[in-house]
Amino acid sequence: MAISINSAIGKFRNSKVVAAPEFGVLVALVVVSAVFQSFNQVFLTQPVLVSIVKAMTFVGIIAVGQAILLIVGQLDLSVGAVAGLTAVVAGKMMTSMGLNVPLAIVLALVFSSFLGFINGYMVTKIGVPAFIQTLGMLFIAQGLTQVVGKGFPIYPLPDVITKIGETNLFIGLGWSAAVLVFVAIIGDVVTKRMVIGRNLYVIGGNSEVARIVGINFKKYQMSAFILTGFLSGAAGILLMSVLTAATPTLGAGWELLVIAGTVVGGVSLFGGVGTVFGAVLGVLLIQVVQIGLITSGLNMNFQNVAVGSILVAAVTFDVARRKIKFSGSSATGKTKEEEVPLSASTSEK
Amino acid sequence: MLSVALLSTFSLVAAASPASAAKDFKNRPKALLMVQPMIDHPVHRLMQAGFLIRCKQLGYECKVIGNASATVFDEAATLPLVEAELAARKYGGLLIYQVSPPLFKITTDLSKKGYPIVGWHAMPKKGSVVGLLASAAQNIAAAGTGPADEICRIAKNVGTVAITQGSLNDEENLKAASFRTQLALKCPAMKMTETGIEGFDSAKAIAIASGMLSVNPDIVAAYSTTGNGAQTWSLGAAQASRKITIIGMDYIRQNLDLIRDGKVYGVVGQPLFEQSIVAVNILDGILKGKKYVYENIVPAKLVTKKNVKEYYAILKKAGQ
Repeated sequence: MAISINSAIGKFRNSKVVAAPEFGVLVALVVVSAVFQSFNQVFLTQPVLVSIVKAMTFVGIIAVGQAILLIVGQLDLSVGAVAGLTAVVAGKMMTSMGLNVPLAIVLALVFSSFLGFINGYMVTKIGVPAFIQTLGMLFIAQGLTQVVGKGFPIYPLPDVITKIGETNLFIGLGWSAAVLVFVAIIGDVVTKRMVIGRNLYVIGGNSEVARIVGINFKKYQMSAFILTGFLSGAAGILLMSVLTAATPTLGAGWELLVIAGTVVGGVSLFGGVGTVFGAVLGVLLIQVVQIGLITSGLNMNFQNVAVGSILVAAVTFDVARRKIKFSGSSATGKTKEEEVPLSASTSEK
Repeated sequence: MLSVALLSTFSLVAAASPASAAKDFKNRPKALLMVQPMIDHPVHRLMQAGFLIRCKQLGYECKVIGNASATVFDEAATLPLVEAELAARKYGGLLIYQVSPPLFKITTDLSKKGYPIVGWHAMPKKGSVVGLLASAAQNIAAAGTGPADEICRIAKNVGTVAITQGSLNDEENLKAASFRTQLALKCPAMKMTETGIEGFDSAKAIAIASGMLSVNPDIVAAYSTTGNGAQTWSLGAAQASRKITIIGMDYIRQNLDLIRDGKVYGVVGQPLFEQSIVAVNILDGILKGKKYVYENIVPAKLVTKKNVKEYYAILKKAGQ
């Protein structure tokens, strides 16, 4: 009897489910949803679930970029401010500057990618710590938002923008959800199944090893910064279309939600660990908590308390899971995905 | 003090347009929802107090919803909260804060779902926000002209006036603009500074005020369009060892204490508490099938040492 229980526990510990980086956040998602459903049976109904998904799409899009950036050992605090500035710049271009909408959007995305490039250049070439560089960019972007918009929301926007925001593709979900699904799938496939993705984990796990095996880690990190800038801009433009205005506070506070979501989803702040899918689930979990508090009739001011508590609990759970999984196993204490595979990459110059 | 009964009459004051007959909104759930981002800001709390007190007096279930912050006005975060709340519970009518385009859009979208909606604090042009049936608001421009007249009288057309805002937004921009226009008209010899932006961080705001005083030795007065402005300027003036005439905004308790203690000349008593009461009365009338008018102006007075006691009484009534 004892042997079969031990055997079952061993099988569970070694199963792919437990080993999956997303396991912790998935369990948390199920548990939390069940709790809120028990408070109010409307929680798991279509209108509430749709509102949860609609709300998380913008931060989720940015979380894809942030996850890749964290995996590769960097971080970007300016994502929310860049999203807001991009929206204001796009709005300005398509209204008072008279550019047509597609051109304004493309130029705005080039602009946000350029801001990501500046972050990447300063961090990888000049050596400014990412925390400082992107914090500085946060303040710069916030200030420029006020300069460009003069404190006013940019409104009204061309009708086509409103139509984009109002489009119902599926059960009330629009383009922001479609973009999230698209970038999340691409991001997850690239990071898990392609050489580029393996290299990201090598760099994040140990950049010195990456250098020794010939991976141009600075190029990867720069690309991740540019990608994050691009996705931040995209999220800002999409939200602008939903709000039908580029407001001066668009994106405010997103940087903390994005980082909290990605960390809750299993992405390590120290690099080399985590998945894009996990990051998106983490953002979803935070939104589930925020909406669940509403449907449960609890004081809204508990939202921030809850988000902070969930963040700590999720990371604690994951640490415990890793200890259970790795106790007495490999010398590195990491999973197969996390150990630096010396043969994983080709040399790059 | 404006009694609730008196405020009820403001609900029926016609402006330019004739009263509208209410559509059939009878037999709706006996619950009202107030939608206001940045719910924790002290000025917003005062508005919410008026809503909650009157709403309960009329026998409704009442709730306020918005992003839980005292410093970030986040419509994008508020929208999903509203959707979730309306999915979770049934409401007869809504009060939506009519101060920005995303809130106009929420108003239009929810009106299409059958909710009667009334606004307060700002008065969009009639017909510009589809679905907004009525609004109860002060005359925002008067929040600038009144202080300009008073500062002109006290300063006797001599010196410079410092002008600050909490942030750049439609409402504060209008107050500052009307102040400038009125002061230029009444006291053409007085100068005015460029608008300083205080922000919502007290320490930073005080440093800005103190800095403005340091570089402008001829500042004799300060006008702030934001609720924390009176505190900002009184502490900034103390820091810079200057005595100036300060007029701020909103009769929150800290500001009334400053007036009582002589540190601030006065504040514009924006009818934060009263306009919510009027808005609830209008919505209640709509739900009972009564006629209503779109424009409902609720007056704002200058609060000084002479009438500060009235406003302490309002705060006590609001539980603040």
